[in-house]
Amino acid sequence: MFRTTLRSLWSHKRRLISTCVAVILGVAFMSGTLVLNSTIGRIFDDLFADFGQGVDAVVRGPALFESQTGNGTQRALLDDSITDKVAAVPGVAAAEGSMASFQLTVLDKQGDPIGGAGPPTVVGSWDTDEQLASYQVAEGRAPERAGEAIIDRAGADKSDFVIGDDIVIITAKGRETLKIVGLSRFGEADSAGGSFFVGTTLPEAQRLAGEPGKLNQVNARAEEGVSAEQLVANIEEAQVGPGVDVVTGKQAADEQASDIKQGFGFFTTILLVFAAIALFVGWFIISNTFGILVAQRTRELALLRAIGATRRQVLTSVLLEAGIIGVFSGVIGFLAGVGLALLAFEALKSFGLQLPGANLIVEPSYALITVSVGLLITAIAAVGPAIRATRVPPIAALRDVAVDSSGRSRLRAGLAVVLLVLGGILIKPAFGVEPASDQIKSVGLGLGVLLLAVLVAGPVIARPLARVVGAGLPLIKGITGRLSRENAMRSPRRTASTASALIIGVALVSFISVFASSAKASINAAIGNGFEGDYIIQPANQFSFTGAPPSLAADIAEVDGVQSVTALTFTEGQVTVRPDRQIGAFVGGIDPKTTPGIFTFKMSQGAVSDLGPGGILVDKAVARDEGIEVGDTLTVLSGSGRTASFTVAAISDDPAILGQWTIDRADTAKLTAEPTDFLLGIRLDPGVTPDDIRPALRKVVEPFPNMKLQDREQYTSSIVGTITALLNVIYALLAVSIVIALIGIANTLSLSIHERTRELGLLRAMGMTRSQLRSSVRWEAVIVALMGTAIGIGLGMALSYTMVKVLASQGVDEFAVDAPFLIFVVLGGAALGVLASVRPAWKASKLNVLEAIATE
Amino acid sequence: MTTTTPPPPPPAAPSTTVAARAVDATKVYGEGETQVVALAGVTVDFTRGQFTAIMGPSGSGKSTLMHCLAGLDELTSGSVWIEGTNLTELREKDLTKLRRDRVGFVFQAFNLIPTLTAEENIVLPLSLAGNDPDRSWFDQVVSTVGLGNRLQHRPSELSGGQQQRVAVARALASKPAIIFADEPTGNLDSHSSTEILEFMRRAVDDYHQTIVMVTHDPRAASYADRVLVLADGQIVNELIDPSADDVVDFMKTFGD
Repeated sequence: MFRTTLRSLWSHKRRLISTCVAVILGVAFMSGTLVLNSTIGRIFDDLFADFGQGVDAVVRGPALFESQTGNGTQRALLDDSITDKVAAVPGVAAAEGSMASFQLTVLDKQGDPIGGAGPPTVVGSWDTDEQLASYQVAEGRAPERAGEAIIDRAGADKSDFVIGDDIVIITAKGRETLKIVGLSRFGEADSAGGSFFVGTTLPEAQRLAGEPGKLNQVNARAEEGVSAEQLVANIEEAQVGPGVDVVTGKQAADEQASDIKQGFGFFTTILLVFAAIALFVGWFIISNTFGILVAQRTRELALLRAIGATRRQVLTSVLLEAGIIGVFSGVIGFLAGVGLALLAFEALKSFGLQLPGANLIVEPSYALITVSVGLLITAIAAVGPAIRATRVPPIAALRDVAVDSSGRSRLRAGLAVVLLVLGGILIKPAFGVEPASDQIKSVGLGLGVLLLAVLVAGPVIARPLARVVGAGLPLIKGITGRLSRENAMRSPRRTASTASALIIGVALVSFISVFASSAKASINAAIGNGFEGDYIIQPANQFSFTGAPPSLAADIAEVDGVQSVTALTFTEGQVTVRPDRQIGAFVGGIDPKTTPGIFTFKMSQGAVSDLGPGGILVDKAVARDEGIEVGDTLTVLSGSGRTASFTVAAISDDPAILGQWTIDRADTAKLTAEPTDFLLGIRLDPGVTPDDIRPALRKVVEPFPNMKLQDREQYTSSIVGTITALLNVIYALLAVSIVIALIGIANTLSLSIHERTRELGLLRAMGMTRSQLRSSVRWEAVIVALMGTAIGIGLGMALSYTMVKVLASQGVDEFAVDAPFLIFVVLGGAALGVLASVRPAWKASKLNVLEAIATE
Repeated sequence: MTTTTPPPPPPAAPSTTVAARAVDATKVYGEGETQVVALAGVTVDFTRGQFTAIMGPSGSGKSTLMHCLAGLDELTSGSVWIEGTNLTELREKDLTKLRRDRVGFVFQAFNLIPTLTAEENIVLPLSLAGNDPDRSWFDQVVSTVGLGNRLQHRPSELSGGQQQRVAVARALASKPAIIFADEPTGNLDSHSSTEILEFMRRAVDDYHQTIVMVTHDPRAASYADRVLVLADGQIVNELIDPSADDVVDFMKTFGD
């Protein structure tokens, strides 16, 4: 039986190529992601191993909460005095306190901010103990007094800094200028993983961070003969401070590395989701191909059964075929994935991530995982056709091929209806009054079930749908069009599963498109209704944690023609709703006295003016979910370890601008040492146009290149622009699944044409020209492609409409359709159909008429 | 029962009474050692309004001759003509159009496009040309083959005999210069077989059509006006207006 299987595979090898391609694409995506992920992980492991090398023990403040922005565990700061206490612990050879800030903006020589979305910029204290230090002096000397800095050599090269230059850092106090006295290296490298390091004396680092006398951590090294573990135990015993956390240097480095890796983990998860989509789409193609191959081999299989092959042997034979394809494609896909990872890694390198000796990490287990997934997906896809193959009665060897009756299957129609109803029940809350946030998950599940219902219903609706989609074709293309339509209708199961692959891709594309345009419309509406000012100043880089010093708002107010200015602050923290209930939170700070005329916030209960010092506004949805009422007292813990209590003053309903928690801007100082403003709204005097005042405003903002000045129009388009950029990335990833769908159409067409060889020969004998034949195949593909696109778009719109409904309380409350884009998708679908048909049509038209007629 | 010598070489422009003609038609498959001569210089005329049967043992070249005459296959040398057109000089596209407009076909089986109705199958060559059928001729053909109430049925809903009737109707519908039938009754029971042969006979007698039929069946051949017998790629005999017994007797000498 094994030999028969191999023979059969070999004889169909050309037809199986596209099946393999479908598996390969999905698997490659996955293995590439795994390799990229582990390589990046290794880089950070190595990096932090270097950081911790000379450090035996690390004393840190008590943990506060987990950051929501991927910064790991937020910890309270330590007092300077702890350093001496640690140094006095038995076994400690040296101890040194350190302070570093990742949130300051450093300007390059042209006055532009360094970094951005890439590796971080660190302003920190320079370790004086050489064995504890991670950085060493490469040129010049270490900073010795306030106003002096050492920067890493790679950063200096890139920004053309030399010793003796001034370097500007923007802090909450304004612009700070330091003199460069030296260049540093990080072990053998000129930079730590592409980050930009500015080292100062400890007091200077504390001052720049706005936390004088405070430390992030104290690093200690052990005397000869004392182990790191012993040292940690000694320090713990000494009780150097309340609640402090003591770990070995290695452990601290590992934790930091894993925090950063978790940040990348999100990125990896997204890539894996797209790999899963690609594999899911590929699954349809594979199962379709096998289905057709089995159908074509009905006689062959029946003959095998007639001469005594058991059902099990037939099943094994078909599954074995699938298995061989799965393993083959898995191996190729794995290699292709390594190639993909290599490309992505080069792209990251050009982005500024540079490390010595960073090679791709390819674990043997990845090969195992990807090949297994390839095998599994192919095997699962082939099970259905394989079971059908066992049902071939031996007598079929003498009969014609059975008809495809799935278009009339009651079971299938019934199942589709059941799924439809189930999905409908699950998404129902979305259309109720004010859906609760925790219902989003069930609605999401409902949407998945609806998608499944459509896929199950596919073969039932394929025939009538193809009839409708191709209705006009006979009129414009005559008999050729008639044949295209009939051929698209003749095997509903095949047509449906071919279209299904496209349905999934297109449904996701249009879902995301419609959802994004709804989000854009909602933001526009929110800004349109909520922002009445003329100018906005906000951080130039959205990943930035540095705002503008409060002095900027005051300076703007002084500009001639400015009627009023209002500023918003922003702090990451944790809100304690009840003693047993903590929620991670971003807390905004507004100035209720200056907001009128610039921002109008939608309120659910009470007014913005109810907010004053000690008060807090809570968003309606959160208030309802958490049972918070006006008058309740909430405690906010900030990332710097400060705690303050607030009384709920009113309930807001403006998540797009206000977010969920809003306090009085004056209270931000209770949470942050030196608050900065993240958003400034400006209203001009009557009669002053934005263009009149632009130069004057620019001049005031210019010293803070981390902030950008935008008029109303620029502001809205910049928010919308962010969404568009994100969309493009998602579209690019979804394009992979659409390419697989395209391969599927081509594959099915090729196989169908092979099946119809005799019929095509007859048509050619009857006088159908080659171009008529090509046209007939082409239009068949267009019908299938249009069906997939039409259902996909319809489904995508329905899904996003539901999503918009359920997210109304989250600020997305406008349903908007990007019609030109969807028209583009439809035309693109038809064009893909044409593209997919090129090769099959060409092959069909080259048939030898006589041989075709003589085909069994 | 006389053995005739091949007719003399034809004039440059074939006369108007000849529907199809082969001149020194030679077809060789393969090369060198494996070379097979399917047609060894056949010269023959098919007169308008005549029903000709081609017989001969397997491998005698009868199918090859028909395929070459119908523009489905190419000669190695020599020429074939349909009315005044020399097929050997036509490009593929013109050959296709010639098949569509001036040749009718009836094959042994799988004659019809399964996705089209009987009526659509009948007018298929016309549809491919983008022409509307001549309604009165269509009705006449349909009533002759007796398909009136079956026109909207698909091939899978028709019996084998009915399918062949549709095929005959299709061959007639475009009023071709000549109809080629390749074992048209080979898959039919004797009753259906008789029906089909009678329709073909009527098409020749009543509508002055020209039919060339390849067959193994002496009874079928007996419906023809003349029977050509091929062996080893050459015409070895010709029977004029034979009875079935004549054919059987003659074929016995070949031991087919």
